[in-house]
Amino acid sequence: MQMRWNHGKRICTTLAIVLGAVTALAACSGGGNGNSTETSSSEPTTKEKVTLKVLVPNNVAEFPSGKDVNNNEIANGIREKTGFNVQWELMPKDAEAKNQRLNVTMASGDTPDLIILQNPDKPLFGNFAQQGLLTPLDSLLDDSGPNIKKLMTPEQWKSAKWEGTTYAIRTFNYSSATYGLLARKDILAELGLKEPKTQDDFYEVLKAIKAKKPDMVPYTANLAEGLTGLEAIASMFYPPVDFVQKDGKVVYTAALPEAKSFLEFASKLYGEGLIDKESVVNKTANIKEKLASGKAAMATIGWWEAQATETAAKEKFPGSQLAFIDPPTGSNGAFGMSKVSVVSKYFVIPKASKHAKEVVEFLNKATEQEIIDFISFGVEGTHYEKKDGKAVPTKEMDNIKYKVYYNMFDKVELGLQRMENAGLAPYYTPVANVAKHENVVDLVAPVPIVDQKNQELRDLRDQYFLKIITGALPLSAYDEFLDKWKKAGGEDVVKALDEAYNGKK
Amino acid sequence: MKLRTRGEVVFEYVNYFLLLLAILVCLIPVLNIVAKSFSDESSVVAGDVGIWPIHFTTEAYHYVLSSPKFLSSFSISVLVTVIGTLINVTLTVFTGYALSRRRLKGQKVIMMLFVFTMIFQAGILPTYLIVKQLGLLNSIWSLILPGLVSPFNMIIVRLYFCNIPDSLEESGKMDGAGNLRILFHIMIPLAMPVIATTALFCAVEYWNSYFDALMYISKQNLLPLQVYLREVIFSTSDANNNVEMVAQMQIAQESIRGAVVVAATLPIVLVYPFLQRYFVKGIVLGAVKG
Amino acid sequence: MSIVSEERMPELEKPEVRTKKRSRRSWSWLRDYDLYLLLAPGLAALLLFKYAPMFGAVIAFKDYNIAAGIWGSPWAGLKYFEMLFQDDKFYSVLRNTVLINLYKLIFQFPLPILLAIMINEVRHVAFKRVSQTITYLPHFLSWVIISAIFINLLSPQTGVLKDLFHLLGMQDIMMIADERFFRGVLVASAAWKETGWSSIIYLSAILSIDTQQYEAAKMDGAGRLRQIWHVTLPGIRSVIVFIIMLRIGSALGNDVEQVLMFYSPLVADVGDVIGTFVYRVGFGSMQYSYTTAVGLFQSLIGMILIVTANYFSRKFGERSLW
Repeated sequence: MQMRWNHGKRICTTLAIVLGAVTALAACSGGGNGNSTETSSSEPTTKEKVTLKVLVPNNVAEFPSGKDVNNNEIANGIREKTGFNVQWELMPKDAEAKNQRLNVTMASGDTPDLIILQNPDKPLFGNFAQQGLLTPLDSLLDDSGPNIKKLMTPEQWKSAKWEGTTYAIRTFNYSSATYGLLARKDILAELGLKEPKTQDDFYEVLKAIKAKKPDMVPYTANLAEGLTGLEAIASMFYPPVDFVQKDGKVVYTAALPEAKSFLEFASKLYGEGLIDKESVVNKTANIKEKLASGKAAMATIGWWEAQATETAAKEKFPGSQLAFIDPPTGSNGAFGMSKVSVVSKYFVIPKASKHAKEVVEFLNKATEQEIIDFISFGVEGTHYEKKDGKAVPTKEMDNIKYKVYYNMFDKVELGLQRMENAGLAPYYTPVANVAKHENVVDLVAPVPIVDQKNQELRDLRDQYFLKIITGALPLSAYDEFLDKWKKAGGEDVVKALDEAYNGKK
Repeated sequence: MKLRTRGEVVFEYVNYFLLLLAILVCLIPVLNIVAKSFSDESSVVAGDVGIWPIHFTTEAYHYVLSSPKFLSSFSISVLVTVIGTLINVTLTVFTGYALSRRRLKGQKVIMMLFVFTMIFQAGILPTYLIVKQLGLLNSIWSLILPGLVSPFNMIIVRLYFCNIPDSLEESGKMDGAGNLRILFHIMIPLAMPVIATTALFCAVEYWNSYFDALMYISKQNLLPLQVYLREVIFSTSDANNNVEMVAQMQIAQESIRGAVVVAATLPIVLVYPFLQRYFVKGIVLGAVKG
Repeated sequence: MSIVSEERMPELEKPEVRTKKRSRRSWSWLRDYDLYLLLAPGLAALLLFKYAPMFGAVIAFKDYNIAAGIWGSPWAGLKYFEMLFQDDKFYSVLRNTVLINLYKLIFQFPLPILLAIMINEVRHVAFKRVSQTITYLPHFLSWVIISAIFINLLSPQTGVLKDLFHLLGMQDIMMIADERFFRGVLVASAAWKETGWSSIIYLSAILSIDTQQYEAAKMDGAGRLRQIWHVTLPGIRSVIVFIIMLRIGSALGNDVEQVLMFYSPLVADVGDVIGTFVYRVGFGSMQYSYTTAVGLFQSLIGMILIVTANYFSRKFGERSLW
């Protein structure tokens, strides 16, 4: 018994110490917090400057130690050059968390003054506009944003509107390229094969690889992530995007008769083992690994994925040559991969912001060439040199990678220059050359029914298409798909898009 | 030592064999991740790495351990985990003990209240509004306080206290000890194994949580390690069309991912072996108690 | 921290009150005032962070609009519940959820108990510790990593087990994307991740068993297996019952992240669960009222199940959960 009491006392003391430590730590960290806010508020802000809170997308760039998103050369430079005390904040990187966070921020009423959304956030833009959470911009742009207004054609401004009112400011992205057909050119050469130009060529090439290279899958795809992995094959039948304009009307490509021919061809390839049987579980990382390790000869892949894959393949097989080739042309003449809109980003001002006018003034200022150059390349003479009218980065450029967070108004030429500077042209150019088809959804203002139904309809399509391709369902199931698609409201979506794109009839 | 029967010997062998199997099944994939983190990138991308590094290099660790973001989020995680676990375990033991005394009025209702929250969880939005109202946004307390008193841990502790014979409490009262004295001097020493267990559960929960941080923290230097870890793991393929991202994606490689996973997991994995001494002590105390 | 200290405030005032009223027998519960003080901070945190936000569930009965706020949004009655029950998809999703949980209860749930008993039977202390520590490692890997491991493992042509698959003539079966195997893969991967981790709770419960009981059993000539059956298992029965009840209560919940990581359109018919359904509905289109209604339905069923399970467990002589 005695022993136990002693033990108890020890525990008592431990607990007391622990609780004491907690309180101390609490005080500590509380103090730390206070300090950090103090430093940010004690920055050189003159009274007349308005503080603008800006919420921007996250990225991978890290800030060197001692610097953060509000304390670095670029952020300070922007404050100086625009005359506005801009305070930046980054969104969560995780897409789900980002959406949730934006929603709770909007709901709490304590919003930033400016939010920069990216193209995939279009449903969010539509949703906010629909719920009346955004500031209408038409008159503000007339009064304070003349430079901004000039940026885009009236046609391009359409996508920034909701029911006729402008709720967003948009800009340009240099790139419209997406996916390309990456192939082991050295294998084609070794087997005496030419780059496939037609559907028949393509089939023969795959067959030849399968016959002569038994350890290699001719074509692999990341079907676990959707149908983009088959884009190079689908493009021989129809434009490989969801909705296109055809004969003056918007159509759903998966409902075209050509889609059935595509399924027939793809399931033939799959059945003969010309498409990787593991495609259905592959993700992008898997197809990169298969291409790099010589387990596969071809795949449809984003141009931005190619460099790492090629480097890894070169290390493993020094003689290998992994490069983009043009996708073949279909027997009906169909050709070309998907293309994304060059109009990008949504700059929106929450209704709860008290500084809408100042935000527009700030953005108007930010369209000036000097500021765009500064955000794109840093300071001339320090971070880059001008040669033949082009910006050539110096070593210092590596220290300001975080400039990406402040990218607002971009110009296509500048983007291309940065891409070339990064050594990505060999991957970008061939893919950009074959990027032909734009999704109508990207060209119009947000349409509620599209945002609501799109995911469900896409799931339905992917499920049927994959089952038919892998042979889990016969080709005849395609008609069943069409029925279900209609039942799920597919035609309403097409109609709504047609009205949005071609105007009400 | 007693002589062991043949059955006993067979039992031991079978037991050791099955456990060895379980160890291998759990260990090999983990070894693969560790091996990747010590290999050079092209071997990893080519899929050559098994459970042993190829072209051994510590480059990935140099990269990770010199990243300011890693270091700051690491210290935030340690802070949140240590403070959170201390407060949480203290409250869990208090609550669990109080609710294990049947004579406490309303004990049944309060227990139901706790169980109810395990099934019915409030939405993100109203919880956010509460946290905001309390002024906890952008403070590490927003990562600690909302998770206070996990019902699961509390119930486990309570079950343990319930199982301690009443005679012990009574003998304490005979000696003139009050409730608190009985708790600190008799009950807590007896419950060390279960307290160690809940401490482990708590610590791991705080260490592994990330969603709260994504909701409540917008200051980058207050984000915990799991947020950083997820950013590195998920960083592929959404680089779409952003040249700055594409150029930098070449950094977020497989081997670095492995290194981040290892560096972010190792500290919390080491908590268990440390707590294991309390597990053994429990046996001794169990004997004393009889 | 402020909350905790605020709740402690009454502590300072109470002693006076106590001495005054202690003489009266009817206030006998005040004798245990310190037990209530122990309870107070935990209860306060519960009310503040778990119960206060629950009012938000009211948006399941409203047409929630962010601009109008939770209270300002117009009432919608049972519209969203009707929408849910009229959705054909909901029933298949409900069935998948229940089935996956049932399989996990039958096949995954007993494993940690088994592992805990096996580890407990090890006499070699170092081996005991090593096996505990290693088997709980997988718990710390996130589902992205685990799904990659399983895809690699189960790829019939390039995976680690490819030779085995060839031997079995299964070189064309992609288990992860096959409706027949998908749920099995979910159960197996969950078992791999959680068995070691979950066994900790049983191990700590085993420690609370009086060692004299084992001595007594040995005296009676009980072998190891009979000791396990007659001493160990009854000793941890209350923990086992508690965890079974929790599992029953969460029959409509799922590890969404797990399903999302293994999910592909090919297994939609067997793998789509309530969690992924809500995820998809909620994602692009933000139908808050609808997703809250789904959550409310899930909780309600969970509550009914757990109350029923508790009733039966009491009937069979177990301790009540509350």
